[in-house]
Amino acid sequence: MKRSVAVLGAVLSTAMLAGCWDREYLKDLNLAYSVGFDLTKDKKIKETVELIIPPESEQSGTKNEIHSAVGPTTRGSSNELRARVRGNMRVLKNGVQVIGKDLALNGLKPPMDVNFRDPDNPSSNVRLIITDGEASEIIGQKEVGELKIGEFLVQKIESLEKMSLFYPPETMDKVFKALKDPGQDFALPYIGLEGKEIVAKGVALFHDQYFTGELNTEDSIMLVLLKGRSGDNARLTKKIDDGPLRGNISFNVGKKKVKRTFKVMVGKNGEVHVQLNIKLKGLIEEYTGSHPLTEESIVRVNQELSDILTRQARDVVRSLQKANCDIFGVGRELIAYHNSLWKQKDWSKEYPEVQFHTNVQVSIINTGIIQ
Amino acid sequence: MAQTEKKISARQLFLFIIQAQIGVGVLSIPYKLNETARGGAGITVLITGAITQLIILMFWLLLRKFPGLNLFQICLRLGGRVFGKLLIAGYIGYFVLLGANIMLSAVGVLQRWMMNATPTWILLGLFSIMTYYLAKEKLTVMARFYTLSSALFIPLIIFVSYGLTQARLEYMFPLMEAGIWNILKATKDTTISMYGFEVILIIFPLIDASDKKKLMIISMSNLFVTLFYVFVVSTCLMVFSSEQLRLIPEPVLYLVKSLNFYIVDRADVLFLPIWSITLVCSITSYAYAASVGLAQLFKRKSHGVFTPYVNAVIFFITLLPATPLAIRRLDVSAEYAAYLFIFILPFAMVIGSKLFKKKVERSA
Repeated sequence: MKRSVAVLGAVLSTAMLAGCWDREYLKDLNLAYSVGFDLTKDKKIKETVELIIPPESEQSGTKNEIHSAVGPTTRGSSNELRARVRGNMRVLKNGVQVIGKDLALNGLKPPMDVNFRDPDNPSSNVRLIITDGEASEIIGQKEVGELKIGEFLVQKIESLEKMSLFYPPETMDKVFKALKDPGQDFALPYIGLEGKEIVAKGVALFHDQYFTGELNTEDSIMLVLLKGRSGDNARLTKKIDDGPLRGNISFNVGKKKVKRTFKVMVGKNGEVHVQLNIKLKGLIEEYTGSHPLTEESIVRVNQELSDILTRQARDVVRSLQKANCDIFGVGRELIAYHNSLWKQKDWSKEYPEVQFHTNVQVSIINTGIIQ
Repeated sequence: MAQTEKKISARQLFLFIIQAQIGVGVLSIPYKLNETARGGAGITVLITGAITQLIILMFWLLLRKFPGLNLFQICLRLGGRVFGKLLIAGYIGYFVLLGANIMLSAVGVLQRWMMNATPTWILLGLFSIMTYYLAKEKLTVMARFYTLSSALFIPLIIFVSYGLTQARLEYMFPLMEAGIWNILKATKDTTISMYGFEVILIIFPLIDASDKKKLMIISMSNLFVTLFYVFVVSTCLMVFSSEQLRLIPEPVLYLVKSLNFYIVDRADVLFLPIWSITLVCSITSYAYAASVGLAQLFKRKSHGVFTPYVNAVIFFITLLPATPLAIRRLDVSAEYAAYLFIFILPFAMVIGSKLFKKKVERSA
């Protein structure tokens, strides 16, 4: 008797306790791999999603569908979307969100809020991308070659991160952090559509939550280097013209660690100086000149490249200041170490007046297997 | 004591106190302290630890005076029949209230973060059943379970430490932004996450060690908990800027969620069930304390008979408040009750015991 009660209890509890309310079957879900947001003319949010449809038989591959809807907010348009797609749309496997230029110009805080608020929305590994046109056009490509658009975008961004175009990866969480930090701004990958091709155009610079400027691809790499970081590779091509050493040099500075000194100093009258130096070690991958790269000429190449890159770096810093994008976190340093000064400052107004002292030093450590 | 209950070892005591002390509070103290103490939050926690240590010392002075007696027996001894019983009833109420408070916050967190659709009463019921099974047992059984579940601290600490990869020291500075006065005042917000050490009032006679060693072990537990909190709080302050922290009531979970472990996208869902075990230990300690009190009140030998009632009461208390305001009210009342029951009353008892001893000496 006692035994049967125990058995009954065990059966009942496995039947009743193991089940829970918060379950979702994968087969019932429509997973949105990539999502795009645009601002419509009447200031509403247009959401475009790429849904992955599981294969009907085991042999065939998955398919994708593109849908879009308009709503007053991000979640609002998602709800609108749910009315259009079959079943339940979920963003659990979302890997990339594309944001149209108009929306980015109008501020990211309101449309991104739901991503931070709802714990079901992934944020640790979601990339944000800005496009120079409409996000719906990018997602609307549906497939690029053999790849579905979402996979393509993720792979593209990841490979460009390895090439130091955007590094370290700007995920949703990092953007959240920068959005809320008065002393730190951020930059996001900037892509565009050229004909049928999706092309990386560099980075989009942000001030507070607004899109305020852009850098081209070469300058994006410089920006990454100025942050003291680099992906696996960081390739630059420069033309040098120094006596016999005339020609184009392609070199890679991503193989060795970037040495960076970053100091924020405050002058007597409260003016802010920033010392920003980087030391790069380069490997020559291509050189079109006729003069062999002997030891003496490498010294001159180093000199020449350092000059060129210093000029480029200063240009980059100027563009950053013009866009009011405090990507190095100068403001954060001021908050931490010069707090009373920070409180007197209106940082959005004063950041463009910060005096940067930027220098880049290049030393070539390898010329490949020929001189 | 006439009862021949087995005693727990010193090592078990160490882990017992830690398990009882670490509760749901730590998930939100970085948030609370960011409001008041800003960068100085770590200092606040250290001060709170020191204050806790003083209270522990006071408890020890009290308990040492009455060898072999627990809090309830001391109440009877000092307060006499009527007043002593009233005191015991008060303490039982206090333990039930605190247990309910922890359970309510725990379930709140679980629901917000991972179980949106599960009804509250189911979660509360499951917690109650778990605590019932533990709290009805003898102390040694509980201690063994606590020791076992202490292994779970390792993954918790690893999760939080992993957050250090995203840390930036500048976020914490300037340390003294809020001013020393605010940093001191903020200790009020942290005390509630330190509670739990008061179980020594009940288990003190059941420990197999000398009085001095007991004090040392308890102090070690307190030190461990304080340092653990300092670590968690500083990590959160270094990972989030203070403007961001202002929006995140449970920064520890948010931190764990934002970590990327390659395969695992949402580590907070792994973190929470592990954390729940620690919470169960905290609630169990209170349920046990309350049951022992009831056993004393009704002069029964075993406390296990009363545990179901205690758990039922906790369950129904936690069912009552539905709005955030009501939950907040429960929180505040638990806080003030704690001031009364772990500071004022024991202090009065220490004073009382001095007088009492004199009386005994005189009559002898």
